[in-house]
Amino acid sequence: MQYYLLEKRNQANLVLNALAKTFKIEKNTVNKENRRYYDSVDWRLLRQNLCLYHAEKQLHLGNLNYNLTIANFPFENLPQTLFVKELPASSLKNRLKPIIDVRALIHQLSEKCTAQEIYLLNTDDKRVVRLCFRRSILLRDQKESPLNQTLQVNPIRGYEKESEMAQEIIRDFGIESLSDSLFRRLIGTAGIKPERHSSKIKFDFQDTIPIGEALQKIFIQFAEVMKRNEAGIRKDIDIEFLHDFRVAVRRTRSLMSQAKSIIPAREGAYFKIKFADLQKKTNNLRDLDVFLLKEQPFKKILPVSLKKSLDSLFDDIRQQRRNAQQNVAELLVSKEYREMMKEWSHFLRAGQLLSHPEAKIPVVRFAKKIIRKRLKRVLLEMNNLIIGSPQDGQIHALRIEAKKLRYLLEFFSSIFPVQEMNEIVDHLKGVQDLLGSYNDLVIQSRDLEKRLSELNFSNKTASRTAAAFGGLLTHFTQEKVAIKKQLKKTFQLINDPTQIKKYQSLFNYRIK
Amino acid sequence: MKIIALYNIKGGVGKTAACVNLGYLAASEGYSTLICDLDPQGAASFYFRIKASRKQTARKLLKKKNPLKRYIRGTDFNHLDLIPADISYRNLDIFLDKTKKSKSRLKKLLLAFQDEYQFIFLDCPPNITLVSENVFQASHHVLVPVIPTTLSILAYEKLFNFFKKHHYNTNKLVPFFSMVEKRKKMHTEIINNYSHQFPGMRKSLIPYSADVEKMGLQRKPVLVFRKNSPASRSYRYLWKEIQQTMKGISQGKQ
Repeated sequence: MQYYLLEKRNQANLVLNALAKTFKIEKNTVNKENRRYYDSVDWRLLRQNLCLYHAEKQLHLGNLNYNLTIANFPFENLPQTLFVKELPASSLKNRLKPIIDVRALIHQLSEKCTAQEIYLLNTDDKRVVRLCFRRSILLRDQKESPLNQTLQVNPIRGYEKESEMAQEIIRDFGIESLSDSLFRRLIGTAGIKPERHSSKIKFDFQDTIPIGEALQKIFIQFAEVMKRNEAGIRKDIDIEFLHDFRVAVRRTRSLMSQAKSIIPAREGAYFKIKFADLQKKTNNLRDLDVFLLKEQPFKKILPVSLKKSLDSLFDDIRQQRRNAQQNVAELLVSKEYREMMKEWSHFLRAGQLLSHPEAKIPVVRFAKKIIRKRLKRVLLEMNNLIIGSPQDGQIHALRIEAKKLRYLLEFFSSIFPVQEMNEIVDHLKGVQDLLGSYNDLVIQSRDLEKRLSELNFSNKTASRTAAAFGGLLTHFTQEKVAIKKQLKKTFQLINDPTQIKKYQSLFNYRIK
Repeated sequence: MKIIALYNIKGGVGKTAACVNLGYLAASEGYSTLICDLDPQGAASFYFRIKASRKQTARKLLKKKNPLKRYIRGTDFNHLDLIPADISYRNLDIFLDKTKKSKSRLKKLLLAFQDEYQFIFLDCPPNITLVSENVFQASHHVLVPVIPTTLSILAYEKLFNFFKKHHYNTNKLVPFFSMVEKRKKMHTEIINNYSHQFPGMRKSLIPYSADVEKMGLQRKPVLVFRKNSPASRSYRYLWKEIQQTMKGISQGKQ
């Protein structure tokens, strides 16, 4: 399948007249279609070259590389958001599940299109090429943007020569074929940049730029990420909005603490408290989100007879979550939060970071210095953990240190060799995933133990609930032991002598 | 992938018309469908306005390295492809006879389409030949159009006995009455008598119809140009019955 862009007026008629000299033409009726495109907040489908749209009472999943529908399913509703778990069993659901997981599919944009289907026939009146002239209007944020007409050429199997002949005629008009899919064209016209919809932003710094300038850019980007996610959190569309928001806050805090020599002391101290408070106020909601994600995995652990006993626990958590979400939604529209973000924005744009005496240091020098410092801490903490039997507190401390290091490596990755940096970040990510899982188990164990102590045993179901909690707590303990074992193995990847050599050459790291 | 053959020892019983219309119905439901025209007369190919290329001969068709793929042509309808027939197919038996495992050659060739098609319909030539035995081996179901006449009934009985004698699974046979003229007394009597006598005789009755004959002029399935004609309704009903048969077999019932 090939697409051509018809940029000039009347080009469609000229092309058709030229084609009519070689082929017979069969015109079909003009079809009008309204499409509603869905994707997750971080555009997971688009990243996999897929698009999901609703049209003609069906959901269609298309492959953008081949402009093919790979699955469809009758679906009458037109929701603003939908979840894969809500879809009936179908091949479409099976395709979406591993990509979208628990994320919400959000209505991202709409397209009104008019398509005229035309067939080119051979001397037997057999259809040999399918053409489609298509006009689209993009609808987003209550704005309408018309797009140039396109011509789609679909060869019919076994008649590729005829299709090539038709395309030669089209190209004779100087019409260029489109290298992108129509959907990517829509995305481009809408000004959507999928890579911007995540807290994982890539920074591209020259190693000589002053650190003040680099810091300013990083902080501004994260402030934008926070702002972009606010509406999603308030409307409670998808838990990923809060996650991205918190990651941006955490990264901001982490960088503030490591670059405190450059940030004016008074402002530094003020925003440190403000961002820590913001993070703290969203902790509960995030913990509850993570807990709720575990509903099915937890039920799988337990024997059938105890599975139902967890229902009241999760109903309870859902209720708590509703309250927590309400609190966070209120926080984000509060005067206090608005003013804090406004002050932060003023501070960043006023150029105070640029005027600081230390702000002139080249970014590479500063980056090496703070990465060295953080790396030393992480390796030290890891060694302590390897030697003894690590406690929860120690593991938590390492998790925080490892996060700080990883953020630094990500912020400044553009000034170091790509391959080496990717390798270090991957190793660190491996450790962090384990530390994160460990931390979740600690929080969930703490929560369950508290609930266990509060159980009212005069209630008939309490003993079964206690048994279910006991089952989970035992499982958590076993999981924690397993993670500790795995941790030691993954530490070795980071602490390996060849890796240390790499740290030496990359960051001038020295072992004392 | 299900392989469905349209077969009868007798000619002129409505095999091709059934094959073309059932193939079209499968495709219109979104199933990726291939019609394989094995009859040297090439009637199915004619209905879809498709000609075999000069290079497509019976000898080349049987080559080991999956030559079939290159002969596939898209029809005018979505999800429906066709391998046209060539007059050289009259010698298909001779070439099959020269190949190793001559009775399972077709099955092997068609299995290569496992991932590409959900249904393959075989439009078969009449007579019992080596080609027919290849068809019996390859097909999951052998649909047999039977005209409600004595000779046609006799031909079906011969086929049934042939299946038994050569240890083919008789459950594969799916007979149905075709070219039925209800005003003819003999047709009605035979339908009444034999509907119960033959195991698996389907309820669908494909009528003798001028609309089906017009397929030759229109060069399209009757379902396309006379959607609501009695013939079209009968093909739709037959397709439902076949789908139920397939469901029954896949669930282990018969």
